[in-house]
Amino acid sequence: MSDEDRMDALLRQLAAEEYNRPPEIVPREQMWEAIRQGSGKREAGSGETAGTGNGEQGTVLPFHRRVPRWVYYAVAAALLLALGIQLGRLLGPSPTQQLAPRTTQPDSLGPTRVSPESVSVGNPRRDLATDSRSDNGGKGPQLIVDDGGVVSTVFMEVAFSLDAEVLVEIACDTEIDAARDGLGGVLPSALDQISLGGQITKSGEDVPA
Amino acid sequence: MLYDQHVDRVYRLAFRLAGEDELARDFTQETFIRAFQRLKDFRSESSFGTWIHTIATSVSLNGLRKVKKFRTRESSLDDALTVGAVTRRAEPDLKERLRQAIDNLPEGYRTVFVMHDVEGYTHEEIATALGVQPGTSKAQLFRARAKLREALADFAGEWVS
Repeated sequence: MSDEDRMDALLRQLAAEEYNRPPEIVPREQMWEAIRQGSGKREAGSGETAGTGNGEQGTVLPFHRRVPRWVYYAVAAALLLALGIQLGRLLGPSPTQQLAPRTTQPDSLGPTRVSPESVSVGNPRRDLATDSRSDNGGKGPQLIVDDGGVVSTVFMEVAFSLDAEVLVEIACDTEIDAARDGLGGVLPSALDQISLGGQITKSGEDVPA
Repeated sequence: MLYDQHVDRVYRLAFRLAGEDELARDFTQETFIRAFQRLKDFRSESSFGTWIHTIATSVSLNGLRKVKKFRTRESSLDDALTVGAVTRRAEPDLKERLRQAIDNLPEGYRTVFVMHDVEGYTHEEIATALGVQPGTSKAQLFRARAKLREALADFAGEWVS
C-alpha cells in the first residue's frame, strides 16, 4: 500500500466520521408531516383539485392551461406584425415624400402650368395647413409655402381627403401666393401628380372661373 | 412504504452535502414532494431508489447554490459592517482543516467525494444521479482526493508514519 493510498484511506475514514455527520435519529415523522402539507399546498396552489372520483368535485385548471399554446403564438405573431407595420410607417419614407423631389424640377412642369390669371382668388380653408398669423397685411390665413416639398406634400394629402373642386380652389389660391414669393413653379407639378390619381384631369384647364 | 425505505439515505446524503439539519430536512422534503408529484413519470428502467437519489442530488445541489449565493451577499454585508475590527482565529486542527478542504473542493469533486468516500455510493449510482458517465465520476473522485492530499500535505507525515 503506497503512502497515497494510506493517506486516502485515512482521509476517507476521517471524512466519514467527521464531515457533516448527520444525527443518528432521522426526523422521519416531522418530515412526513411537512411533505403532506407541502404536497397539499402545491396542489391547491397549482389550481388543480384532486377530486373525489365520484364526480362531486371537478378539476379546475388555471387560465394558462385552458388556452392552447398555439393561441399565444398566433397572438404574439399578430402583435409583432402590427408593430412592424406601424414602425415601417413611422420610420420609412411616405409615398408623398417619394414623389416630392419631382416638384423641384422645373423642366418637368411642361404645359400644365397654371397661370395666375386663370384662377379665382379666395381664402384657403382654415382647417388645412394655413398660417393665421397676421403678418401678411391683413389678407387672412395663407398656406405655408416654405419650399416645393412642403407644397407638394400638402397637396398630396389634400388630394386624398377632398373632392377635386375644393382642391383646385385651394391650389389656385396658394399658387398666387407662392408665385408672389417667387415659388410659382411648385404648384402645377403637384397638381399633375394629383391628376394622375384621377381626381382632376388637367390642372390648367379645369380650374373654376 | 416508499418513504420509509428511502428517507434515511436521502436525508443522510442531504445532510452530508448541506451540513445543516434544517437544510437537510428541506431538501429531503422537497425531494419526496417532487417524487410523489412525478411518480407517474417514473419508468421502472431503474430502481426507485436510484431515481429518488437522482432527484435528491439535484434538489440538494440546486438548493445549496441558492443558499450559497444568499450567504455570500449576507457575508459581504457583514464584512462591510465590521471593517477594521480585529478578529482572532484559533489555529484550525486537523478536523477543521479537513472540513475546509472538502468545502473548498469544486462542486463536482465534492459531490462525488461525499457520495463515494463518505456515503458509500457506487460510481454507477453516482453517475446516474449526476447524469454523467461512471468514468467521469471516477476521474472526479481521483482529482478530489489529490486536491485533499495537497491541501492537507502538512499532516501527511503524522498520518503515514
